[in-house]
Amino acid sequence: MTVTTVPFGPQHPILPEPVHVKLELEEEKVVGVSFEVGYAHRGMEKALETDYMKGIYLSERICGICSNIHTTTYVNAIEKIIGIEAHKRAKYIRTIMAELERLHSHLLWLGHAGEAVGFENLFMRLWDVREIVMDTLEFISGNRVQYAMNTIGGVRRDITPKKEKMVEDHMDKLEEKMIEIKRDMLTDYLLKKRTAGVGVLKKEDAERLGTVGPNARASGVPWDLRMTRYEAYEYINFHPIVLEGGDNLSRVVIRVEESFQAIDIIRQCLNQMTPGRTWYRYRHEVSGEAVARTEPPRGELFYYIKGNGTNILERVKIRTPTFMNLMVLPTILMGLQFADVPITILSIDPCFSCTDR
Amino acid sequence: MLKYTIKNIFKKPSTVKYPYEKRDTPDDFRGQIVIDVDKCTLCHFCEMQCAANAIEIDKENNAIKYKIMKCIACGECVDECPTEAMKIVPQPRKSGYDKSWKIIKVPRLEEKLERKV
Amino acid sequence: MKNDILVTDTQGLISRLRELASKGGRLSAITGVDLGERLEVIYSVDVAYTLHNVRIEIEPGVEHISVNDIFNNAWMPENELSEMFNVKIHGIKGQLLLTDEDMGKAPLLKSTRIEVLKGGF
Repeated sequence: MTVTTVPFGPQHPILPEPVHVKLELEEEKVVGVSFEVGYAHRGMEKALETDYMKGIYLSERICGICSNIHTTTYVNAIEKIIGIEAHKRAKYIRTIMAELERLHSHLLWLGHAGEAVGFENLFMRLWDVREIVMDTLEFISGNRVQYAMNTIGGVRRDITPKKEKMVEDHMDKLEEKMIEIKRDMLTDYLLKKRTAGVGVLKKEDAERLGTVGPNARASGVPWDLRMTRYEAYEYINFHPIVLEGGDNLSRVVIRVEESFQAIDIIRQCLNQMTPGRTWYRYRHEVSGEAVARTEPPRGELFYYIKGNGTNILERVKIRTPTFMNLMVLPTILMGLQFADVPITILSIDPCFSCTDR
Repeated sequence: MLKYTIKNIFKKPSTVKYPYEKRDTPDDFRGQIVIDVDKCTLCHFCEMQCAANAIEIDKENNAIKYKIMKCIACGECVDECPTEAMKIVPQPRKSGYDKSWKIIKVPRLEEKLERKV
Repeated sequence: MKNDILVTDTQGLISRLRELASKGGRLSAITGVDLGERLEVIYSVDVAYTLHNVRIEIEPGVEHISVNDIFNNAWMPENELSEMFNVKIHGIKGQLLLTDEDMGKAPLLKSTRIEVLKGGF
């Protein structure tokens, strides 16, 4: 039997960002996998050793899809070192921005997944519905990506009562359209046939390899970092969604369910918010070290910051969720047909700008 | 799915044909920074706080060098300025090729007092 | 930081990490900090939403051990630690993000200076 090596190259229509996966095939079945990353390496950890107020804007530009949660984690770590806590209204606004970001990231991924199996109509409908979320983000913060909302001690812009009413109207409109799309998507014969039973990740492998995020929750591991109740999650009633199965179809269904859960969390925040201050500005020296962890749409984000007494930081270490999730690929790609490889690589929701920094 | 497809034939497309049609932007959209030279006192606060290093103050020649292509419109200079000389306006910036700096002359204190009198 | 465990040699490191792995721990991150003369390596292990940090200080020229047998997801963070700080780790190739020309330059050490190229705008 001869073994052929096929590159799933850095440029591919499915991939949002470049990665090089080398597949070894024997009669159209995969027998070996290895991968290389580093195409988008920009040296962010060295560049963040600068003034800590300017670092907020730099840490936002590591990723385009999950930009707000990077600044929230950075600001949480610095607040832990200084020893202050944000105002209550600022915590609610940060939670609303995090859940809006989770919505737009999952809708983007569901559109890509539809395109990967050949269901292009789903891509068009979902990205049309996603524009409602982008308009909401633009009215709250002024930008469609890279919002510049966070600062040490709070948020820089407030949500006025007129904007609160507008966010509620947008969420109602969004939910009504998403119920129709969910019904059309999950009763489709071809989507189920292409994704059920393919790329199975068992529960023991998910625990052994340290998988995080919706990939682990779709395999039966009930891991959600929002249960540590950071920011305003201590006042909100929610439980993580866990599915058994571990194949590609479970990873599609869990992201649909999490989008509905995000709309519910935003509504709870808007009902519970009371008027109050949102920010205050003052200067501090940063001396000491701290770790902050949050839950972006893809898993667990880890920031370690060390300061030496001046306003220049000494060491910033970032560990992004896709960095740990990528090590699952040799396990789930073994024994697959060659035509099932693109949808399986896409189903772990990789973000390579976060991996390479 | 079939009902949605038939309804969609009679709807108009949701694409906005830019630049022939434009969307309205909200009132606090991050467009560009405008400097009011009568209020500026050349105090260096905006230069220290700028996240993209896009402002340079030159006290001998009474000028502000504003690098418009580097500015990210974050609004830190607007929050920092003690005399409220910086404003953020919702007109979006136009694209272009010219990467040169804009040098804005700030009138000296004697000229401002002469004008008031 | 809370839950810090300081170990002084590699035997202590391996026994502490095995103990945390048997309680159901998951390796979260491996951090390297340049202290000037020596290098500090922090292994962050998460056990039921609590983070335990195991810290060890190593000499720059000495070969370090790999913990890939205890935690099977340690090979990617160890590759990054090895190329960014010029640390030789037993059994690890040591190249993840840098290209072939930039190997050996150790960008995250304090003694490495980054030049800003003139001629920009």
